[in-house]
Amino acid sequence: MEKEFIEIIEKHQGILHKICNIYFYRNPYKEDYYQEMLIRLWNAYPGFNQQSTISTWLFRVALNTAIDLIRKEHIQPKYIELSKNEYIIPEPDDDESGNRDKLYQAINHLSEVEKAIIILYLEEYEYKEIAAITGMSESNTGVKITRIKNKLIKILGYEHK
Amino acid sequence: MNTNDLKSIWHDVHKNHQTEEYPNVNMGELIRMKHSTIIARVVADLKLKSLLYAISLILYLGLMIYAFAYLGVHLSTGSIIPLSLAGLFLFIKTISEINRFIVFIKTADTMSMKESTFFFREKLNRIKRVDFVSYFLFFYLCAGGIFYGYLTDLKNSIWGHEMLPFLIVLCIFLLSMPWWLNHQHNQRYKDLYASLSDSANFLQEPTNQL
Repeated sequence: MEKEFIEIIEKHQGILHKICNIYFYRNPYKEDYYQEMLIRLWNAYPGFNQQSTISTWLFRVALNTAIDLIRKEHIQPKYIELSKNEYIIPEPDDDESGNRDKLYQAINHLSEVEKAIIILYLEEYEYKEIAAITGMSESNTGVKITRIKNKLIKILGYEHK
Repeated sequence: MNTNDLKSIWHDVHKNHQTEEYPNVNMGELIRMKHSTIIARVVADLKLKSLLYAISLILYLGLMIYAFAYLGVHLSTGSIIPLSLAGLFLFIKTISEINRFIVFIKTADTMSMKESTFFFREKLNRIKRVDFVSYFLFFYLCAGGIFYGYLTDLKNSIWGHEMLPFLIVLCIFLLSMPWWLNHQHNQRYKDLYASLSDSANFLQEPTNQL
């Protein structure tokens, strides 16, 4: 089971990095939170009953973990001062990173749930799958996606056609 | 801008970022851990706090049993009240810290986002309820103890009359404390409650919002 799980994670690690980058954008604890996400995925893995695809399950657990970690920071604020040498937040060094930074900054203005929905949409997930992950109906999902897209375009400063 | 352009921007900015971002993460070692470093530290801190209060409570109970049952010490009611309140305080703090610890380690990762939002809000409300009931009991018993002490010991003393306004103010202060702490809880978690309400409202079906 362990080998199988590691293979799944390796195959989908791009998605996990994206979730981490969105939710913990410029957060010094990003790598720790990424590790916590993997640990929680591993703990939840025996309960995966193949009713959904592995990527849908992976997204559900990873997004719930990310949101949960953010919420729990409010309950138990971080108290450990990490040395500046331990965590260095790199500055964007090229155009592509600059664009990525701009997009992430814009997504960072969205609420936790809006972020989850837009990542799923941008990752080409179908409304049905997004609805299963969020717990909304398919029709409501479509309405919300349109609303979030317009909000994001406005934040990015593009004119909406 | 076409809304589909968002997808192309998203894919463009990620096309050269498929390489491993955290080279230090060793999956084999990681899955044998209970928590990541920072979360493990927070959990250890919560555990330590709960444990310290629990040990203090056990020591207190042990000393009380030793004094009253083994040594046969007899104290007046006026002396027993502050002692009991100290024990009650330790009991309340132990329960409160254990409750916080349980809430912190409980997760709802496999639920839908909507369910996990309600689950988390329920947990937060549980902290609030347990704290309120505990502080209510403690402060009202404190006020009762002070009033009892006044009636039995101070009322007939030479400065019993002068002490009364001061004791009334103190009792009012104690009686208002549970509500003040409840208000502090709401203030402390104001942002979190707002964010949870936003998430819950956002995930509700449009008909339910009416």
